[in-house]
Parts: sequence; C-alpha cells; structure tokens
Amino acid sequence: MSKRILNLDERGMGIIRQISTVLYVITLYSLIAVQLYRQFALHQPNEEWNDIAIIITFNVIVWLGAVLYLTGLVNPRNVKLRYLIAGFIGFVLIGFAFTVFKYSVLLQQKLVMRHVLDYLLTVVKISALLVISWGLIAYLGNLRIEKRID
Amino acid sequence: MKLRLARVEKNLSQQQLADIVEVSRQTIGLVEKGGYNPTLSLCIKIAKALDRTLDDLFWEDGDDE
Repeated sequence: MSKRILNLDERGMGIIRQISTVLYVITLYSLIAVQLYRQFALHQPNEEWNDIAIIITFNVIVWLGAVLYLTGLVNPRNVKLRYLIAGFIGFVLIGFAFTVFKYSVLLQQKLVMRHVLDYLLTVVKISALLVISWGLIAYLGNLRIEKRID
Repeated sequence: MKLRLARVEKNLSQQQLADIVEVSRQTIGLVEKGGYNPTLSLCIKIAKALDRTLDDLFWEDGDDE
C-alpha cells in the first residue's frame, strides 16, 4: 500500500496543466475586460489601469516568445521575406486601426493629421520591434531544437 | 484487457503495480480501462515491471480493435 499522501503522477500533472491553461486564459481575458471597462466605460485616468495593461502586455509578449522559442514552431527554411513583410503590414494595419478607433470613437477625440501621423509612426515602431524580436526568438528556438537533435 | 491479464498473471494488484512504476492506483486502473493514454516512458516502466514487451501489452491486433 502506498504511503504517499498525494497521488501526483504524469496523469495528475497533465490534468493540472490543462486546468492551469484554461484558468490562465480566463484570467487573461478577465484582465483585458477589466482594463477596457476601466479605460473606456469608467473613463478612469491612466494610473487606474496602467498596471493591468502592463501585466497583459507582458503576458502576451512573453507567452508568444516562449512558445516560439521552446517549441521551435517556425521553420526558418520556409520563412520568406514576403511573409515577414506581410506580418509586419498586418500588425501595422491592426494596430493603427485600433489606435484610430480608440481615440476617435471610444475617447471621442477629434483627430488631426499631425496626431494621425504620430500614431502611425508609433505603431510602425512597435510593430517592427515585435516582428523582429519574435522572428529572432523563433529562429533561435528552431536552432536550439535542431542542436538538441544533432 | 491485455494489461489487466498480464498484471493478474504476475499476481500483482493495481496498487502494487502502481507502487512499482510510481504512479497512482487510479492511473493504472484508467490505463487498463483505456481511459488514459500513458506516456511512452510509463508504458516502458509497466512493461518492465510485468516482464512483457510493449507489443504484448499495448499493441492492438485487428481482432482486438
């Protein structure tokens, strides 16, 4: 008869991982909902929701980076420059559309051309940084897996 | 079914086999009933504990499917 108090084995660990994944997703979506509600429904100042936004951003960036690095998900041999450019343009379009929507509709601010160009420049910079960083991490992740196979 | 037969032939209870391969009795019960797909390392541990091959315990012939 086993004297262990906990029946923790590979099956138990698998179930715990599944539960953790589901709860992580629920927590992340809840944080996003709370942040958007505070920002756009309650119109609270930045200080009231900035910490939540930072946690969400950190989580999403690190989650995707870790997935790309640890799984070796992307095969660099099949990645063409046009895919990277398409991804970059996609990021810019989505980011820019959301920024314009945020200021013009949600915050009901009047947009002037100078502001629009400023937003576009910021979105381009952030998108470039994300695409380059994730691309590099994906490449290194794939390299790591290949080294382990060799 | 093959696993249960092999365990009984070896005169081991589910708990005894579970203790040998360091998992819970529930896991062994579920593997025997087909309610849990064990990892390859657990399959190997079980096969070694029962002095059988992986084929003996886990390979399904056409008749078994």
